[in-house]
Amino acid sequence: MNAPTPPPTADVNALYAAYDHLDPPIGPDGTPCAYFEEFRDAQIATKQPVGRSEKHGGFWVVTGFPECEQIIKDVDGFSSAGVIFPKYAVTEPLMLAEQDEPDHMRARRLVNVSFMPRSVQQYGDEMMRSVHELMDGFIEDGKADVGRILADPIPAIVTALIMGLPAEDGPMFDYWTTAITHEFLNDPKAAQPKIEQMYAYFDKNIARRKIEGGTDVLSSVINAEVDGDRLTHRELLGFSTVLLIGGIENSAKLIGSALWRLGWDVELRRRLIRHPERMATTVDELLRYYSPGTIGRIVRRETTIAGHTMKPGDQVMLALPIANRDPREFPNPDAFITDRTNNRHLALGTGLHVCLGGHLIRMEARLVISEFLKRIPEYEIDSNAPLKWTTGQVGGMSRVPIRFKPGKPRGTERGKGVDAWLRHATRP
Amino acid sequence: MPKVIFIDPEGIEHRVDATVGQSLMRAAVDSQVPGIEAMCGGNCICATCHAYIEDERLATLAPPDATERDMLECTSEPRANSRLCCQVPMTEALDGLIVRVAASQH
Repeated sequence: MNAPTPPPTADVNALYAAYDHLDPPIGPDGTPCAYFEEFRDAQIATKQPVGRSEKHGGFWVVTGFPECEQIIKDVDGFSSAGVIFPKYAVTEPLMLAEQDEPDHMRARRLVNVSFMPRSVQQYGDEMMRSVHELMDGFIEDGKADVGRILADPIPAIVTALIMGLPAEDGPMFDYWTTAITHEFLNDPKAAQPKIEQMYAYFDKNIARRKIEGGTDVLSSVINAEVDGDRLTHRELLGFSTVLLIGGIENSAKLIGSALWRLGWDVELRRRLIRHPERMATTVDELLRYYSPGTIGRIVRRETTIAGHTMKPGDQVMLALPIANRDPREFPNPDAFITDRTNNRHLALGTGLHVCLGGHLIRMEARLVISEFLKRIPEYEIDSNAPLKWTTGQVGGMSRVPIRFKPGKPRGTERGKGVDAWLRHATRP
Repeated sequence: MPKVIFIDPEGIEHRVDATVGQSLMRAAVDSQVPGIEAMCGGNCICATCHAYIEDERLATLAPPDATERDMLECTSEPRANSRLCCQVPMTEALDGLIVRVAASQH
């Protein structure tokens, strides 16, 4: 399905014409990084940070850092209604992500404090317990797919906690999220009933909270008044969907890519073990380097950028993984620098729409990586098992087979969330 | 032009010119003071411009509103002199203000 990496002399217009954010060419290392670097080189050499793709009916592609930043911050000129392109097959509008001002800010205020650093820290103990229980499940085996059994489960377990949903429903969240973000493109008939199942699940959970109340994020949204009005049921479904997708996809792909990188980059791994104080800047460098998400906008006000005039109604895609390699912003952009300073990457957006879960994804990545390395400081990628980079509007390593010296389980009693995942992941 | 003295998380001092009326955040970002991320661009939604104001002059600032107070409580290390720099406008009277950038914004 993936096109081969273009030759180094590929001309920039051809690169733009063939650009498909949902399906970037995968290189011999199993990632699209070499393609992103090559595109960046062509963009810089020709001074063309904007171009036109012929895919999906045609759209603008922006690959330069300052140009992407300008568009993201220009919330009057560019509408977030185009954040996902082509649109997911959901029937309810995605709250926050697809909203413009003033509606976006009203909705954001309802949940914002719940995602501040101190608010998400309260989930730290439970998150750490889950990491160790999951590791107990495979540490005696000497091999595991840590994409499937660590990177996927942790964000789903944490999302369940934050939304006040049963932790053991985590595998189902993953199943629905995949249907919405990937399956609908290739097999819409198979995806549709799963999406309906998700709405039915939220119908039930919303109804219960209206009667019983609760202290979780979902309850606070349900019971919040916005300008004297309650959110409608459709808006609540849109909120639930966005919290679910937003909580799971980016974090899982970031953690998967991180565990893959640390599997072969022995020097990086040892440096991180020796300098745990660099974990925070390392996680931001991972976000820059493996930027999981790509975002779009719809032009609202005619705007000319780098000589291209974008008209109202035009779709624009911001190629964040390429922009995050722009030497005009990042010195030595292809080097992975654990203590990079002033790392203003756009992986989590910027401005008014900056990622609601930005603090949470950083905490998840820091915690998973550091706890994992405490128990498995030496490991390698298992070349006998399949490695997989999942492409899509959010992309990253999703299958990360590793080998290591077997260890001993800690033997704590398994929580329901972890138990459900272990049963799910060992199914053929 | 009044000056602000930002002390970054490494303890390094940055003497920054600030225009009257602009926020402390804008002054810090324009001079690339390390540690002030200001992701949301001054809209009081991300709390990544958290800093501590020198005690002697804290009371001379207009107090934080309810939104900022809620946000400050949920920063990683809130203190009595915590503020979000995007919510503090610069005045002539604040010339020489000492602002310590929080160790972590996350």
